Amino acid sequence: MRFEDQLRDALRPLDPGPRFAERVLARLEPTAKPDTAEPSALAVPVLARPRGMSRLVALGLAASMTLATSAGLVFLETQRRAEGERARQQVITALRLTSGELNEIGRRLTAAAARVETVPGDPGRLEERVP
Amino acid sequence: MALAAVPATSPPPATLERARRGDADAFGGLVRERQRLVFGLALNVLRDRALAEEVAQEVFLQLHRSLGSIESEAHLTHWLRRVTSHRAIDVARHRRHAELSGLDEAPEPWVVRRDADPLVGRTLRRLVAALPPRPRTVVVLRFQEDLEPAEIARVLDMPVNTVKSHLRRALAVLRARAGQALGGAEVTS
Repeated sequence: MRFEDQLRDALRPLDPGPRFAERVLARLEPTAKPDTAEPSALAVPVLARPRGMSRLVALGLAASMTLATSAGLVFLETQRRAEGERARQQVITALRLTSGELNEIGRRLTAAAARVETVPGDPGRLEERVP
Repeated sequence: MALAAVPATSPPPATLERARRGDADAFGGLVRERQRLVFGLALNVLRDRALAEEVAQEVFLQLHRSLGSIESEAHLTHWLRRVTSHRAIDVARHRRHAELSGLDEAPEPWVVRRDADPLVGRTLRRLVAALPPRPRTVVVLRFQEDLEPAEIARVLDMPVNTVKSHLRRALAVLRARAGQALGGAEVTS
């Protein structure tokens, strides 16, 4: 026998044995259909890649959506910080106003006290100083 | 594209069409008709029955998902040879180190073969399995499937001259090693 024929004989394909096809069929998902089957509109998942769309286009769309979502989140965070800063400034302004008013009240009280004198010999009686 | 002849046992064309429409029985028929080709190819490349079974099942599961792109029976055969070969090469590459370190001691996988000469057959299969994955697959496609170098080139996405070169060198190595292992009387050039 020629060497090539010996090789051919040695490499004859073998059958995988009984029930191989059944083992394959058992691994198919119960609802799996070949990709020629027309999908029901209700059966198409929201995130499924539409038929005819290339994987590259789908990836591009997914990346764009991720970028847009990230940009939106950054914008919202910036707005939230700006609002916080505005509120802080309002509180500081209010505190400054309050402080100014208190100073004014203190100044008036001091001025009023300066106009009042203690009556000599009667520590309990006050006498308004005549300017 | 010139594809290999459709095996005589191929199912009627309606079977492919029914399988494409989701008929599980028809798909089972396709599997039964082609399981020897796919499993045999994987087994001859991998020389491991469990791995070959796993590869063959994966190939048919991939076929089920790809039925819409299969245009004809001949295309189906070409597709199966192509996907099985590439998957088997990938698996063989991952386990190459183990093969190289323990091949000589590896027992014949549990298979029932009716070789003309069991010793020669077993030795040749062991020697083929010791070739690097791509030349090994070239040899298997040439001698299991009787493909011409141009057809092997299309299956493996390889230049025809590379296929011829792999074949020439692999045969020389196999002859020399078989001669050493078996003696000149059993191996005829």
